[in-house]
Amino acid sequence: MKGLLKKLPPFAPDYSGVSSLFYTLGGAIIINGADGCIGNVTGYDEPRFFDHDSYIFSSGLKETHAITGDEDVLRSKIEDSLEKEDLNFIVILGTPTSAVIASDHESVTTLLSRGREIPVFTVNTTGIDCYEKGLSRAFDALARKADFYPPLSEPSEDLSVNIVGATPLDFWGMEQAGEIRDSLEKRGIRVNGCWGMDNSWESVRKSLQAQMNLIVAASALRGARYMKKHHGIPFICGVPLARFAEALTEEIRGKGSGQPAIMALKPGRGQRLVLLGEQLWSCSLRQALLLENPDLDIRCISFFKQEPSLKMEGDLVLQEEDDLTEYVNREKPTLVIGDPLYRRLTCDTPFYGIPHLAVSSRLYWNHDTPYTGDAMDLNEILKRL
Amino acid sequence: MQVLLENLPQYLKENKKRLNSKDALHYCPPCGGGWGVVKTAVQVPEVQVLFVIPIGCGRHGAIAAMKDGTDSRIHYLLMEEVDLVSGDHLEKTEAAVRELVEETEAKGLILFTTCIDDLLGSDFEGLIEKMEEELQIPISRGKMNPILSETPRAPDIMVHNTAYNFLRERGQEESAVNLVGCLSPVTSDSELFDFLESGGIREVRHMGNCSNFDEFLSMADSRVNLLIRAPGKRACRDMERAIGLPWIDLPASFLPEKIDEGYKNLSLLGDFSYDTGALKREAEEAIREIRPLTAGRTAVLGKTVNADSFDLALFLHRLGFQLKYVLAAAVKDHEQEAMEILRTKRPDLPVIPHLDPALALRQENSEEVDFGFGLDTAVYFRPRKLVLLPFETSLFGYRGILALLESIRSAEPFSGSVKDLVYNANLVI
Repeated sequence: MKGLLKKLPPFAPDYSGVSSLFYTLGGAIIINGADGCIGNVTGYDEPRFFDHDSYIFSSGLKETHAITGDEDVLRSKIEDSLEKEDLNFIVILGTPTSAVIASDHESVTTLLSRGREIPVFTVNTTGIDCYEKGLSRAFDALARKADFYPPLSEPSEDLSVNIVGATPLDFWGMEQAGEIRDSLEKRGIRVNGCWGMDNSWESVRKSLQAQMNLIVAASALRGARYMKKHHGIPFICGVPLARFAEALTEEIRGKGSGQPAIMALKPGRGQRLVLLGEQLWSCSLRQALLLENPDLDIRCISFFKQEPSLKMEGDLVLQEEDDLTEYVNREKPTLVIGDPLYRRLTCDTPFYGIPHLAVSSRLYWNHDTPYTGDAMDLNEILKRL
Repeated sequence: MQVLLENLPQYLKENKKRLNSKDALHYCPPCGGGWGVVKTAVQVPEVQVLFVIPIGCGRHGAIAAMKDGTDSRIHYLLMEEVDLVSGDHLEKTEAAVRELVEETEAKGLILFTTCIDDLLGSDFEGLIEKMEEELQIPISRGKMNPILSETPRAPDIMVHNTAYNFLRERGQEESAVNLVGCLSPVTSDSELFDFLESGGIREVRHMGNCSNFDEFLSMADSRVNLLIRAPGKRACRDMERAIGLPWIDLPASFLPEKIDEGYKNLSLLGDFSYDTGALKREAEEAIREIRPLTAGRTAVLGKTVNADSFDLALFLHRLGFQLKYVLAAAVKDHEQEAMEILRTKRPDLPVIPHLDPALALRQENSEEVDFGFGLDTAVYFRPRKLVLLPFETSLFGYRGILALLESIRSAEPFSGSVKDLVYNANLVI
């Protein structure tokens, strides 16, 4: 039935996505809702909570204020409660409750901005959409903040990129982002910054120094397009992993075939593999597997939004959890690769689990197998075919 | 903002009885949670649980249930934006209820809604009436609506009503009583069971111990509800009104005078031959014996303990601990007296509301203390030894005191991962 989850948990919501991008940037994140809303973020969608200073708060919205209007209350709570002096920004996010009462976050940020030298802004979230939609708005908002904070110095002359999109919700840990970074740097590409993990406000301010943005999650595309249009920074899509890392870095060096590396190899007509996950990671893994075995018929499917221009034949977005069961029964793949919770829906189809934090939260976030970079071992997948 | 104990009554008066300021942001780390409504509701055996929610409301409870292995009975109907305007989710709910009842062998169904249906005024009562008639299955309404937290209708209170609403037919079993309000059953070594048995009460029921729905329904036949923890009080009152099941206040406490009072209340039920005197003397002797270990030691009492904050704080003070701080969520009615006594002894004791935004900065400046009580103390302070008192263990009576003293005596120097400690506790905010 449409909208009914019997086997899967609700996925990470949009405000978890936004929080994930801004978490390490030294600002205050205010989630306007009842305390239960923020519990999703702090307890279940943010693996860095105990490893990084956190300055994230709930507005503690109560019924009375929900009925009488909460804008003045929210503003005064923020003015009175933030004791940290060296904040880089304040961002206000909405929840289902604030969406229902139509809280005017724009007005609150306008009032809070007066007399402050730091950006105070809101990213439109409702708790009704999934994380990737919130992330998309957040990357866009952060890209626009580059206007507020101009670059600290001129663009560098060496080959450098910003990794954009490596949030824990898609890449769950510093190690995975570290593998991406290592993979680029060992090929002589300097990583100027990483939006989403291992990041700071200062490095965001230096983003315009990079010659290129490497987009590793589809949710970052909106921000990347803004930066391309307004700052002339081109972007390339793909996650360096296994042998695909080489093809991707060739494209970054401008030595590619002319078409995006992430679309270079077309699936074959042999054994069918289904990759379930974040679109750019899945598409990158498809390329890496095709480099090993060009006959494989690999489909990238997802419960999350996909960028149409990166879809290949057979790629699709699933709407309901029943859709996955129907899909595997119809398509009869040799192997399904995705978050271990999806195994509940794939009947007896052979399955290889790779966690996706936006799906399974902290159930698997402690595992340390690399699924990015040169360290990703495809043999574990290939030997199941 | 911390409040000195001497100023606490005035502060509570000005803040509508709430410890967490109504005028401040709330800091909500993973250590600040509790069992959550899901874990409590799913204790009712053989019922299916359906949450009608926006995606942002159900994730924590769902993942916690997966970690607990109870998720097979918990389901989520996701609301879309258009539902908020059109109210279409009521029709979808009907369809989802039908599907779940048809596919499972549910004996009952709990239907949870959230803050937004409170605000929308959605008619779920009418829907439940209709579906009960159509499907011939009992359905109980639950609310996961934290906009009402820290009020008399807070979700952690009302979830007990949600569970016990299934009790309908009242039978008569003189030899059975219920334990209500405690999330987990009282530990089986408590003298409470010996005491009750000495008066002919051989069956002590707790919903967490019921193996099937019929057994759960038999709680309606019990002679009396024993209210162990305050969040069950409203459910006790409602059961008395709805099905005539009386209740007795028998609060879990570490204070001997309150334990005595509880057993006196219980004695009104009949003749109980069990003499608690010997055990009381054993507890008092154990308190004397442990003082060299506790006197003058610094301690912090956290909020994440299965005890009433000020009741336990007074007990720790009497043990000789030099309490540095108490983190708490509220001062409940039945701990007012303990709070007042402690206030005369330690007017300078700082009380920290457990969601105080200043706690966000405390991790950077944590103080070292000899003992921390509650896992949240390990997040905000550096306790040399940690005593957890988890929600899964409900201590009661003089044996509860002895168990706590043993936990203090045997506490090892804490050197583990705070992160693992918190995540393994599987708490929900």
